[in-house]
Amino acid sequence: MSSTKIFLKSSDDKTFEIDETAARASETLKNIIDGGCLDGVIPLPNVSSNILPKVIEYCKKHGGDNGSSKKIANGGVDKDKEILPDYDEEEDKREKVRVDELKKWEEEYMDFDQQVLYDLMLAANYLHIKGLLDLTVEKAASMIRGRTPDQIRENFNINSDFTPEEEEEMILIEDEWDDEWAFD
Amino acid sequence: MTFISTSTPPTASNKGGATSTSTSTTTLDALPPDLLQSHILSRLDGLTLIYTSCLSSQFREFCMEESLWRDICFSTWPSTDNPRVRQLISISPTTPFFLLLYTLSLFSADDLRRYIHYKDELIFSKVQETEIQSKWLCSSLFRVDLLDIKDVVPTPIRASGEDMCQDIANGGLTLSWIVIDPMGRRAANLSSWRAVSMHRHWLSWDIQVRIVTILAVDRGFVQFVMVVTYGACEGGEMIQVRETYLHVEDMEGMNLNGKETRNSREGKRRKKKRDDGKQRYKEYLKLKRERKERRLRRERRLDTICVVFGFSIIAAN
Repeated sequence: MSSTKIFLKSSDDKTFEIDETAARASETLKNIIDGGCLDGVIPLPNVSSNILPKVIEYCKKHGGDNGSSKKIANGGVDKDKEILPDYDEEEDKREKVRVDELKKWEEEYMDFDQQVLYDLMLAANYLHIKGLLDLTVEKAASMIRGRTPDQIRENFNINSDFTPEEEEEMILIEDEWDDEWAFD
Repeated sequence: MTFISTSTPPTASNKGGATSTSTSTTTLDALPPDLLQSHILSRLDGLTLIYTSCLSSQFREFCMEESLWRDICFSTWPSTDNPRVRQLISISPTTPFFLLLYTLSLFSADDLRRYIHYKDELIFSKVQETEIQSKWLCSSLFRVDLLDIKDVVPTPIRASGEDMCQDIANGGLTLSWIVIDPMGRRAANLSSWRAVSMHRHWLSWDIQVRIVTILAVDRGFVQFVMVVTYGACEGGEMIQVRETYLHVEDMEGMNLNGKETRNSREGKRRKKKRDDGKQRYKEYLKLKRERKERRLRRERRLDTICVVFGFSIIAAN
């Protein structure tokens, strides 16, 4: 079953190949597969050929380890814990290495410019890949967090559409919060 | 789910798309509002969210979403998840109530920790309703207690003498006392800065911490005094909060009753710089001392006049 190939077609008519297990990382693709459309090509009109390989790369890395299979594996480890504590330690170590590796991989994977970030975010949202969506929105949020409005504007190239009067008002409001009653 | 499968033969390629450039000019504000609001903005803290709302009118609209602020408030001050507080949401139709509550604290002091925090750890949080319209309260002394007489709140502070006192005095402990006046449709943060004084009770050795806000009213100033009393628990290991209350004193050091307190709500806190609560308290004490000295001088003068007058009568006889 795991060897079944699925073909995805990007918005600009390019076709990409992906394993079924990897494709199941996407909730949308999973529904399509379960709906019984394995033979044909799945068109993805919202994802361009720039982004699709990136999405597939993520799915390949995470396709196998999500959902029930992981839970079963963990359950097995828990049972072993009681019987063989030595083995468990080994397993823990291996788990830690795996997590570290994954973190490193994610770091490298997430090294791209803003444009790709948005597209990837949209693709993850469209394809319902929760892990990828979390990863991308967290990156966007971390680019905003702890910065002043001017820094954020510069970072994201956002133009203020406030009139100078409104800008002034905003500064005044900020001062007024210092005052006693806020509701007046 | 219906699907159209195309008959084009699949060309297996993994990295083939690199050359095609179908770049969309997406920017942060062009993302779908739903994605932006429920995924990105919901991950921001209060201050960043306020900053973000200053970016453009579109962002302002996104950031004013009530639910964003409600979540921030609930997670910071659990007691705001209270039906009575929620009922007050209707107070301002344009600005979410929780934003007001949040900004109020954000800019008037270091945090709207609504109740007691010790080194960023929430010790205690409570919503207390007080009726100050009734006749009984108008004539009795005004005092709001947050804890019942027998209640105590455990804290993570270890009872270890000097260090602990230093810790509390140097800002390890913060208290926020937010007063909401639903009738007058307004709210104020009465405290949040550090304690102005701390002393040990002569008998029980409990530590009493005073946090003070000074309001200017018609006849000078009144001070809102919030007192938190700490004592060691029975084992003697940890410190616990024994009582937390608010009362109002006038310049003579007299406690005000309900009616006077209600009137003093009209008072305006003087324009202040952030976090000079202690400085202002010192000014207030100086003013109070001067007033006392003046009264003493007046009394002394009166005494002298009486004595002189008495002597002159005796002499005349």
